[in-house]
This record gives sequence, C-alpha cells and structure tokens, in this order.
Amino acid sequence: MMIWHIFKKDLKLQWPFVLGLALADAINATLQGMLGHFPNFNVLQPVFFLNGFITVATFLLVVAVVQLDPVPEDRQDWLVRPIRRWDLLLSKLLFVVVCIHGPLFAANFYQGLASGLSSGQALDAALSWNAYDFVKIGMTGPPRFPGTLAALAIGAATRSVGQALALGMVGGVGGLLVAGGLRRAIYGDFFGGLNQSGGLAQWILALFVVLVGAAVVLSLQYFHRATRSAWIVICVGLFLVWSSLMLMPPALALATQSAFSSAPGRGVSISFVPEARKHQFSATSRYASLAAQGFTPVYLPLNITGISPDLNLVAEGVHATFTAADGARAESDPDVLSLPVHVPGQADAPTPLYQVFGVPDDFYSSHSDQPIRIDVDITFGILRPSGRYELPPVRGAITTPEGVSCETRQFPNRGITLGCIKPGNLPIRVSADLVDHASGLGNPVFTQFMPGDAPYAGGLTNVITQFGFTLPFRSTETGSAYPVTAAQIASSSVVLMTSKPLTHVMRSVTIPNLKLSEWTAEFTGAGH
Amino acid sequence: MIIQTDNLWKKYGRLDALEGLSIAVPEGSTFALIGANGAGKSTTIKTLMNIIAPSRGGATVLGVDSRRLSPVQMAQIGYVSENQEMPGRVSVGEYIAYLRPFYPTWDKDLEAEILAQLGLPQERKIKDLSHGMRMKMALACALPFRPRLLVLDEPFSGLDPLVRDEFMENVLRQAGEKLTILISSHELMELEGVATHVAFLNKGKLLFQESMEELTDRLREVHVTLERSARPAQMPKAWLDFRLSGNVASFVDTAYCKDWLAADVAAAFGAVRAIDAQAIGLRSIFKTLARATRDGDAA
Repeated sequence: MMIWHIFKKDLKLQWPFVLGLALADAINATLQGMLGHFPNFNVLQPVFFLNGFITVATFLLVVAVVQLDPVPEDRQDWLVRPIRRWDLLLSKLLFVVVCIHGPLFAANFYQGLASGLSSGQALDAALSWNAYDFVKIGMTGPPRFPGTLAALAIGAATRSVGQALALGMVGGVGGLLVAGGLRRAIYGDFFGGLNQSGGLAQWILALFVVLVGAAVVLSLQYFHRATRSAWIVICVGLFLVWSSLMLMPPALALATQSAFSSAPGRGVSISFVPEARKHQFSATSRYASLAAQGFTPVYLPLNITGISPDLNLVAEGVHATFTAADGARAESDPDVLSLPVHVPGQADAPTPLYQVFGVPDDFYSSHSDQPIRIDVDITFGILRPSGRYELPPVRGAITTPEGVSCETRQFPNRGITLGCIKPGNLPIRVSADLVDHASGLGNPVFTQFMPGDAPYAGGLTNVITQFGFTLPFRSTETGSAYPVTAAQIASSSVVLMTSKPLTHVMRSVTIPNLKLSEWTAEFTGAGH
Repeated sequence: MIIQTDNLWKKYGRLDALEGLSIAVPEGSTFALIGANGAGKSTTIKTLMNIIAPSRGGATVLGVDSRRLSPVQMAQIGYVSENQEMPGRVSVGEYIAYLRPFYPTWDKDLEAEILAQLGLPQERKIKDLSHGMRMKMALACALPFRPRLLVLDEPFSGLDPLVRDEFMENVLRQAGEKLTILISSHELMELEGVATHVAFLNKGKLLFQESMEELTDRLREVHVTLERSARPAQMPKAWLDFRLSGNVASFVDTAYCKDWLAADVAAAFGAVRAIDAQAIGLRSIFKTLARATRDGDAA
C-alpha cells in the first residue's frame, strides 16, 4: 500500500514537529481542563498564547508535509518515479488526519472529560471541533490562519513555507480589499456584514467556498500540475470567502436561514403597531451604545403572534432598509439585538415588543421628519424548554442531562456568580434567576444563548464553552434595587432553565409611511 | 521506436524553446541529444518525461502518449538529471529503501553491486553529498530496477573526469540490447564511442538526426595541399569551416563521398598536390556544425 509507505516516510521526517504539536495540544487541553467553572486570568493567558501557537504551527506543519513532495516546479524527483498522484494526495491527507487531527482529537476528548462531559458528549464535541478545524477559514480570532484543508491546498500550490505565507497574505488582503471596495459601492461601508443575523448562511457559504476551492486546487495541482491556475483559484476563493461574509444581502442571508423552517414557526406573524406609545429608555440600556457608533436608535413597536404556548421564541437577527421619498436609502446597523419574545407560561407574546434599529446618523439627520418606508426582516429562533433546575446560591453544583454543568459562588456585596460549562457543539439557551423561597420574591431573569443567537453557526468553535453571569442582589454598593437582598441568600436558590433550539423562521414587514423622529425612545432616568 | 516526437512545440511566454521537433529514438540505441546551451535539450527531455506539457504537438514514450505516462511506464524509465531535487534530509540508504517498493522489478543484488561500485556512503544525508556524489546517487536510484529506458540529462555537468568514468562505466555495464539510453550532454568526448545515434538541436529546432555510423561516414576533415595559396572562387555548400594556412586548405566535408571528392576539389582549386580526408570525432562534428549554424551556413 503506497499511501502508507509515503505516509511513513513523511512521518519519519516530520516526527519531531508532530510530537511538538501533539505536546502543545496536550498542554492546551490540560490547561483548558483546569479552567473549571470560574476561569482565572493566570490560566487563560497561557491558553490564549497556546491556541495561537497551535494554529500557526498546524498551518506550517501541513504546508511542510505537502512540500516534502512539492508539486510546482520541474526538478522534483518524485515526478519521475512511478508514484500514483492519488496515492501521494491521499498520503498527505492521511498525515493530516492521523498526525495533526489525531493528537488534537485525543487532546480535545481528554479536555471534554476533564471538564466534566460524559464520554459521548466529549467524543461528539471533539469530533465537531476537529471537523470545523479542518475546513475553518481563520477569519475569527488572532492569529487569522486557515484550517488544515486550506493549508493543504496552499502548500500544494507553493514551493516553500515563505511562499505559502506570502500567497495566503497577498490573496487574503487582496480579496478583502476587492470585497470591501464592492461593499463600499453597494452598502456604503467598507468592512461590515459580519453580523450574526445572517451569520449562519454567510458562514456556511464561506466554509463551502473553502471546501470546493481546496478540492479544485488539490485536483489542479496533483492531477494537472497547473500551478498558475491553482494560484488564481486560491485568490478568487479568498475573495469569495470575504464576499460570502461581507456582500451577501442581509435579506438573502436571513431568508436562507429561515428556509430550514419547520412546522413550529408556520403560525408566527409580525405586524407594526402604529398606535403604541414611544419606547421607555433608561440610561443604562444596552442599546444606548448605538449612539456612540454613529447610529440613532429607533424603537419600533411590533406585534408578534401565533407562537405555540410551549415554545420559546427569540429574535435572533434584525435588518431594516430605510427608503426616503427622494430615493435615499440606508441600512440598519447589522449588530444583532436579541429580544426574548415569548416564554412558556405566558398566554401569548407581550404586545407590543419594541425592536431597536440603528439608523445611520447622516440619514437620520436629513430624513428624520420625512415619511419614509421601512422594510424590516427579522429571524426568530424557536426553542423548546428542556429543563428547570434549582441549586444553592453558594457552592451549588448541577449537571443537566444535556451536559451543561453549572456551579454557584458568592460575589461579595454584589450577587451570585453562576459559572457554566457546556459541550462546544451544544446550542442551548440558559436562563437563571435568584428566588427567595421564604418571601416568594425573585430577582430579574438573566439569559444567555450559547453560542450566540444564531445557534448553528458558532456551534463548532470549541470543545467546551465556559460561560456564566452574575445574578445581582439588592446592594447599596452597586445601587441595585432588586427585591432579594444578601441577607436572604440563605433561604434562596438559583433557578436555572434551559431550552434547545428547534428551528429558525424569518418574517418581514413593510411600514410604508413613518417618521423616524416619532419613534426615538423617551428617557426615563437611570435604570438597572 | 521507443521514443517518437511529432512536431513538438514548447513556448515559454514569447520564447519558443522547441519549434516543431520531430525525432525518433530506436529501441536499444544510445541516442545523444546534442546542441549548444539553450538549444532545447532539457526542455525536450522534460516534455518526454511529462514533467512539463508541450504547447503543441505530441510525443510517445514506450508507446504511450507522454502526457499520459502512468506508474506502469515510469517503473520502466530511469531518469538522471544534473538538477534533480531529491529529499535532502534523508540518507542515501533510506531514500533507496523508500524507492524500492515503487518498482516491481527492483533487484536488490544489483542495487548492492551498484552502490559498492559507486562508493556511495549509505548513512550520509543527501543534502551533505557533493554534486558528483549526488549524480552517482541519482544513477544508483535509476539502475537497480533494470529500466527499459534510461534518460540522462546533462549527467556529466560539473563532474571530474574520474567520476565521469565511473558514471559511464556503470551505465554501460547495464547497457544491453534491452536498454535504450537517451542522453543530452555538452561533454561530447564522453559520448564518443558510446552514442549510436545523434540528434543536433539548435535554438529549439532539429538540424539533423542520424546514426553515428552514417554521420561519421558522411563527415570528413579534408586537407588539400594546393599548388599555390589561393581561395577558391566558389565552394560546395557541404564544405564547412574552411581555413587556409599557407598552401594548405582545410575544411569539413559534410557530404563526403570518396569517389566525388577529387572532382569537387579539382572544380574548386584546379590542380592540387595532395588530398587527405580523415574521419572526425563527435566533438569536432559538433564544433563545426555549431560554428556553421552560428555563422548562418547550412549544416
């Protein structure tokens, strides 16, 4: 079997690097396993460094292995040997799977177990992370290096590690500049569109481009040795990756996402409520920051009906196009603004719900008092509640059947800190509140959706995910005016509720004549 | 024919490296591809080995289109080139052991014999070998599977005379009726007595190809002792490299015929005292033809 024969030769040459990378994977997994429910900075710092090192070292090792039998140029000895091109390509793939993903998978699996996941959950999480690492694009988090499949393609198209780095950099920056230029011409800003509202469709398209592009490059190189064409494919592919993320029209991205809608979302409808009053605005509102980013927040009252009473409905992504009578157009700020729409136990969604839209300042200042048309697209995530658990507010611990493990501890004078760990590929919504059983009082519910509010897109980004939040009690130090106080902790418990996403649905509404100035919020003083 | 090219063209941008090359290499021959630097010898060989693709035309090697050479054919071809890049970080022994399974006909006894004859240090890494040692190494990797076709691209370049001798001794030891050798070289002395056929390339074009026997038969260095020193008013086009020293005129007759020489000389010079025609070596043939093509004379 020549694939195995070539693989053994490569391993013989590269084993010190394979061992080094495996060691780095193992140390990284051990450190991440030590992070626990309440990660501290002393452990996080080396983890951050090691993650970067592993990303770069993996890219370099893949390129180096491919270039042990370099494809470009016309002097390589293997070209005149009876070596099947398929055997050579498959031997390189085997090396990547066994020597790079093998140790990574083992480390990931150990990390999952060390973090308290069951063997099945740890296996599932490690598999999904390795699959993502194979096709990832490296657009998130420094260092911005691609996954092993893209490294294989770049390595096959170049003669040296330096050339591979240069090609990746020139193609990546070139693709960004062209895609950014196009985005500027179409949408008016150079670098945008990486929003979560359309994240799923955008990222899936980008990963698809990587998959197809790498297959084309490997085929061109190993079966035709067409290096010039391979370079063109790499540069065009990098442009298409950027374009997938930056140029896809938000409405198309949202529609693609909702194309997978199933029965639970069919009855949902959305309408504008013109008779509603202005939204009440507090100083600490999370949306106040829009003003600092060049957007004017406008709150539109929306009525959302038709939700099945046993399900949760969460607004995942919103997008609005503002069109003035003079033809001027503007797009809303792409930042996702998650909005709980419905929770079980309520007869229907509270009405109206105020959805905030960031209107670009220049458009707002010139058109705020004119009637404009607004086209709104909203995607909803539909979730099914999966559990309700209670745990003591101090040194409490629980692991849900889904594998979400949470612990509690007191944050002196401020509140209760809830720290959770979950398998990286498990999309789940966790809500928690502090309830005093003696008085029957409860503090507000805090919610996190992991990962993010476009569930499936970010689900592969780690083996485990640490998250948590502080559940504040009434405190003069923080100014919190919640019902439950620190003195009531002993008789209180933290109530944890989990939900799993079922599907997505997109709804659109057109508001034909609306004056933006009439829908800014009213300031009501300091909030929570 | 074990190799045949048909109107082979290769372009690098605007440069025509090969211009309609058509050659035929008979099985069992030692076929020398000669020509000045940039004549297109290495391009021809790389096209035949499917290392580079022709721009136009085609070639067959072992009866198969050169673009479709598969491991079946490659297992019958030994290739040695002056600029062959082998993996530097492995040792001689390791690399030979790596290559062995790819060749169904690999003969381990022959391998041991060749390694001993070439004096290759098996433990030494390829990157630490001298140029001469590396060429021997390439040869040691090209012979143990008893190839049907041995392709040598400038194999003597940069080798000292001793290594050249060892190299050729080993090549010739393997040569037999079944082995065809295609060799491109500047070192024509080394091909003397070895080549059975020769093709002469100039700027990508084939000037001629024929067997050495025919070539040495039709080319003669002629010295004519004249009655008095005088340049002929007209000479046959087949006379190249004409020189006059005192009353002795010398030239290379590229269409030598014993019966016609005296008449041709008489027609050019009139009465002469003596005519002496001698066979010439490949090196002289190359120099004469190269000079003639450079000066624009017909070959």
